[in-house]
Amino acid sequence: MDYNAINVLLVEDNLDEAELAMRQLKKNRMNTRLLHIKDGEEALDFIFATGKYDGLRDLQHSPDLILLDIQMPKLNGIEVLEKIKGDERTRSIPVVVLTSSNQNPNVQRCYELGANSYIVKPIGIENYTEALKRLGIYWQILNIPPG
Amino acid sequence: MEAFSYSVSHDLRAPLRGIIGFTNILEEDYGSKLDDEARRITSIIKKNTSRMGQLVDDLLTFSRMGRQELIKTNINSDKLVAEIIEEVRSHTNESIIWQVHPLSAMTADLNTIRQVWVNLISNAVKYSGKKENPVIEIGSVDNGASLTFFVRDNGVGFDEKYKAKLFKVFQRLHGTEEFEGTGIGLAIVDKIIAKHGGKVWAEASKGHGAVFYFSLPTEQ
Repeated sequence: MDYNAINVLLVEDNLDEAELAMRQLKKNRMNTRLLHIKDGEEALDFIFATGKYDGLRDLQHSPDLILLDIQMPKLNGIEVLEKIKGDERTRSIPVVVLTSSNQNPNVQRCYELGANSYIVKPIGIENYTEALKRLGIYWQILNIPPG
Repeated sequence: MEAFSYSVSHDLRAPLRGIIGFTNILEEDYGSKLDDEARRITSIIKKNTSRMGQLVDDLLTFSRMGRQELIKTNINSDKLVAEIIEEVRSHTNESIIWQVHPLSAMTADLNTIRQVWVNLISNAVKYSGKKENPVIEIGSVDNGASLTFFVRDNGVGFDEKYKAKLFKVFQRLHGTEEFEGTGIGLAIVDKIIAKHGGKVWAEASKGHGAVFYFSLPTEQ
């Protein structure tokens, strides 16, 4: 896999959720190169080309979009967000925070840290696939990515 | 407690999404191998899972309502009720006749009292929805020691025999096929009014309508 050619990074610890999300995202755009990473620590390794990704990618070629789940074991989404947005090499990468609950007290915190968008995963799958489709259309087609 | 509700909500919703999502994949990818009966079954699986999602959400709302601190302010009931009716009107049929009498102002927590009105008014709309000429009447009575508000409708009413269940969580007096809902609306009303030190009660005539009352003690 060419780690410099990833369009979308999906950071999600729940494998079933990830499978559903990837299926939908791929459906929307046939040429999407999507990478799924299961935990926050590894996500940071990928983004900063450290740990197991040391030497495997170049920070100039960032993904166009990061979809970041909040509730993850070990390092959670907020901490990952903080690191991404706190570093000038990576802070312009659009990050969409995905969470399971609209009762999340972290909405404000995420925006303060620089999240580009905050989406609650709805239960009804029509709604979720629709949300992912719209996310795909917005972030991958409509939105102009950073240079 | 907030953290508990949040994690319950998160933890319960994720598997529900999984069930619905993968059932959909079954339908999409194996559609040609599924006969009508199989599709009927997957549809039932999804419907039940959605319903569970609704129950989880409602339970959380109920639990949150009970825990919040009340912030009491002076509330212009006329204005509040008018706003709610305006919103309700935007997604109901226009044939409802609204009879709204002048309402006493009250001292209460705005957010939760708003929820009380929303629940009572939307119930009135829902249960009179099958009538040709639904009439909903809203009014208040000030008898010094307390303020009583009421919402009356001419809808299907309920059987007074089962009255004790009315304000209980997830208890309903009508089937889901007749009227959608999880049975949390009145439990929420009951909880909020109890927190305010007030009372809720109702009277009905099966087939002819119902009236729901809530009273608040007058602040000194």
